[in-house]
Amino acid sequence: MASKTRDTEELFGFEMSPKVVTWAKALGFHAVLWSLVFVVLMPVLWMIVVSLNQVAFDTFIENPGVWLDGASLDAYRRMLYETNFITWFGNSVIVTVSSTVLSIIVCTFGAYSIGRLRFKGRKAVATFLLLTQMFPLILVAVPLFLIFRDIGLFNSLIGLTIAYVAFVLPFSIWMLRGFYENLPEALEEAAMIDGSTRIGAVVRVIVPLSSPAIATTAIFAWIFAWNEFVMALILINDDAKTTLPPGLSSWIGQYSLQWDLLMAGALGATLPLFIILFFLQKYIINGLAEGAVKT
Amino acid sequence: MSRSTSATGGITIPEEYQYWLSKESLWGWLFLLPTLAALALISVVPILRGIALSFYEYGGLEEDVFIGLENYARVFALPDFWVVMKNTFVWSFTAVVLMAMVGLGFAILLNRDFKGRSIATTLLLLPWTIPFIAVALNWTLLFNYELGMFNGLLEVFGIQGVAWLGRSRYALFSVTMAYVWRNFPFFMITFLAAMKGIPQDLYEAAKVDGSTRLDLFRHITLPFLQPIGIVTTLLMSLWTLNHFTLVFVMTSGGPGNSSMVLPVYIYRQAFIQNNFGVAAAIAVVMLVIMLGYGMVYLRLYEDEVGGK
Amino acid sequence: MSRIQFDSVTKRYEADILAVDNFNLDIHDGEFLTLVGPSGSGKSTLLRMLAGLEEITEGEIRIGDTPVNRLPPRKRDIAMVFQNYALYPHLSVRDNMAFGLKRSTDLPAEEINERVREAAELMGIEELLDQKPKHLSGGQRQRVATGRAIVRDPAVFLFDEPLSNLDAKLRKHMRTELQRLQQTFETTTIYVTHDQEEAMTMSDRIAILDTGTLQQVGSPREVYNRPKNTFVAQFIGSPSMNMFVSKLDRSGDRPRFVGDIDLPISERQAESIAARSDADQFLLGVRPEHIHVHETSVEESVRAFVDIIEPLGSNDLLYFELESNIDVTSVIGNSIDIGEDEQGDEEEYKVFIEPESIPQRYENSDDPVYLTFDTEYVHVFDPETGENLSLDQRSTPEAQTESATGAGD
Repeated sequence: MASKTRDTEELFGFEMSPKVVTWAKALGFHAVLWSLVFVVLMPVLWMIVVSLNQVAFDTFIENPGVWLDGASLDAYRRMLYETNFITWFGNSVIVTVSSTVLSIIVCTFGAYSIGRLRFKGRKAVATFLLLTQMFPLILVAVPLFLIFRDIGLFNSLIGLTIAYVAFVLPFSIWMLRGFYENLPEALEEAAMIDGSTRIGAVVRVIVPLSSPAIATTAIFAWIFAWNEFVMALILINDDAKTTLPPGLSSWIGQYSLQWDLLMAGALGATLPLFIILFFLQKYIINGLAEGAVKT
Repeated sequence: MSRSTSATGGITIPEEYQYWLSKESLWGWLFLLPTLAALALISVVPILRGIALSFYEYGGLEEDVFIGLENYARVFALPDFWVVMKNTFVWSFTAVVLMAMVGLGFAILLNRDFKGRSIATTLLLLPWTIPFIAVALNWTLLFNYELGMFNGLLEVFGIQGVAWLGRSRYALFSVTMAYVWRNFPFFMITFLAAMKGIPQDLYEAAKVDGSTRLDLFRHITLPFLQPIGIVTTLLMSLWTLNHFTLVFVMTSGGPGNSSMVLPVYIYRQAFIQNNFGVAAAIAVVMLVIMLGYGMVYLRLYEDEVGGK
Repeated sequence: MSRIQFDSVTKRYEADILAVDNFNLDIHDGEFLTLVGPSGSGKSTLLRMLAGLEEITEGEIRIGDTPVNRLPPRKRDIAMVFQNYALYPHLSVRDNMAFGLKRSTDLPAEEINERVREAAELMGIEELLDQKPKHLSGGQRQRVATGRAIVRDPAVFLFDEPLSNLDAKLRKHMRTELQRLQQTFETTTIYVTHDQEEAMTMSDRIAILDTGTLQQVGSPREVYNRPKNTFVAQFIGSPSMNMFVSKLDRSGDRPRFVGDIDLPISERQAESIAARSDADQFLLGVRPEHIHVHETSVEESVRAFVDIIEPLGSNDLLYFELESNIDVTSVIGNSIDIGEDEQGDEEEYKVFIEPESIPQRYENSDDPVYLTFDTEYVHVFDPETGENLSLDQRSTPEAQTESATGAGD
């Protein structure tokens, strides 16, 4: 995209050959870009630094050697053996995996319904779904606490899972619907003429074709559930049953001076999402793009 | 052609029902059933219960007492309430504007061909994948008076550090910074996608017509980004208004109420002060605000995207 | 037996959008029938109702004497080729073709394989069997889609504009190939297209539709030579029929038309026209091949001015204007459709001439040319109803079929 605007190549007042100018421009661009990337990533890098050895920032700048000498995995050891981290991590995995799987199944069919089928009321449902996105989570959480307490879902991972499924559904359906609308309708018509039932056409033709979009939806559900804080805080009472976000937040008071432990916990909570980012980045980017264009 | 019946998985379905099974409205509602059931249990019933609750004095183990609009009167009489409202709007507005600007900046940088583009995109996307709880812990440390990075940097330039989260002047802004850092990639990716969707021949035509780079940006890129920009901004505003974790973990709304926002405030009213009725009333006020906002969103969405 | 009957079939969308209005048609076993009409004429809706993809609002459709109104598509023993082919992108060509057999039959895998191979051979796509659709060209996809239909050996083939995404040359080639296939299998075939040329060249019979109503059914020659109304007259044939406005003058010793063009007609014809319509002015329809151009005035000729002469190869197309003419749209009734031709320039008069029989200098000049008309091929239409008033008077319709060849090109 480097564009030549003038005939005489000039940069900062110096006459230069076009090749040098192109090269200098590229160098400048890369310098700006990568230093910005570095600035953005500083907090993450600092998180890693402190988790290995707790130091003040200025000490680290002046004399990194001191930090290096004291670096150890001790904080990680304490996190694993002296705290509830593993329990919370396990709970988070259970809730996240089950709510992701459930929401994919439910939303595949729901999105197909409002994206592809023509029937009275589907517009109303679509609008209703959009509307539920505007319900403040906290407004739902307060009465939900009372309801769950009454029907015995309070303090249970099952209750939390159901709540998460319901919460990601509107967004997921909305996103997947856009994808379905763009698939040629003739595909499942062909399948139905070729001997499939409606469900057969969805399962054999539509689902395989929409697997990238479903993957994106799954990632969103995963990120939502892994991140969710208020619901878990309100609906779970028992320290052994809670998930990572409320669990880790309790450390702030408890281990307020052990920053290495806090950072180790933060990194531990981040790890599953980092892994997802690196393996499934394509789907996240496409999904965000799709979501933005169609949401 | 079999006329009378057909066997599907061993079960024989009479023809009359087969016809109904081919109807789209039947499948439509059938496929929606789990969705609607889940939403009824988790969204609709609680919302209704919440609205009802706002007219009652919550009795705990006792019977709730109907008190009409009393809770609303209490809410509007609370001096905190107006501070919290102001904070909520300041925080949402600042955060969204900053995220959009930073996101657009990076999108422009990334919207060209260069070696390492995909790595740069991945690295810049990275903050968005960090759970809020980790962001909260991380940035609490960054803002720490003695150990933190910000004060450390200030000290390098010989400036006295600040208790970022401990001073009412800076607390809300500090949380906003953390939030912007976590979420700007969302804008970046959506803008980037929108830019990819701009037909290249438009740029070529404009270049032939003698446009400068700035002209191209102002007259082609920006107009093309506008619809998606508006939609993303509004969506993100809703999410920001709803956001809980960072404020709750980093400052708990303090010092005083200087960084208190509505969701955390409602939580405190309900679960710390046990004022379920008042909490519900505030939540209903918030619902009204968000629905109003949502209507604007829908209207703009239909105008800009031509949604169906 | 797989004849198809449409019995008073009506399709209404939402409250009152009438897509198909009381459609009746019997399609014989083994017949190749084309539904043709402009977009919005209801032809695709009819096909989709037959396939079971749209509900039938009123009336009944029978395939081989079985009412199918309430049968889901998979029970109707049909195969369909879609405009965009609808190949399953995630399946190989082989699996695409086997898909229907796996779903609708209990055939063993080897048998299915064998039938797929045979069909692929027939379509000349054996070497593509392991490819995914996205690697195929448009023509190859078309072949796969057709192969997927024939492999199932259904009672009825349905084609929904299957060739409209191909380039002109390939389209012509595929026309003959589809025709050949249909003749081999002798399977009842319903073919939907908006292209009258396609309809003319392929079908046993053509059903012409406009705004949800059946206009005429008949063999290609019949609808070309004996159009029932202005719509059919204008829609079939390219370039389309010229329409002139003239009055019937019975005051002289011989009745004649006077107006845009002047023509003598027989007393008997005048009688029958007057008996069937009390209109004042009539539309005279003349196909471009039934007008002759002379450089000098001859008996019963009409003066005209040449606009442009378009060389088409075997003959030239001459566009002309009359000294004065009455706007066709000003005389026709509101309800009738004179069917604009493909270019939408229905007000241009055209005539086929031998190449270079009229010198170029006439283009846009003030020198007139002189036109004569084959009076026996002039159709007289009622401007209010659009009905062809001259039909019953045509004594020897078969003799005229000889001149129908101009239709295609």
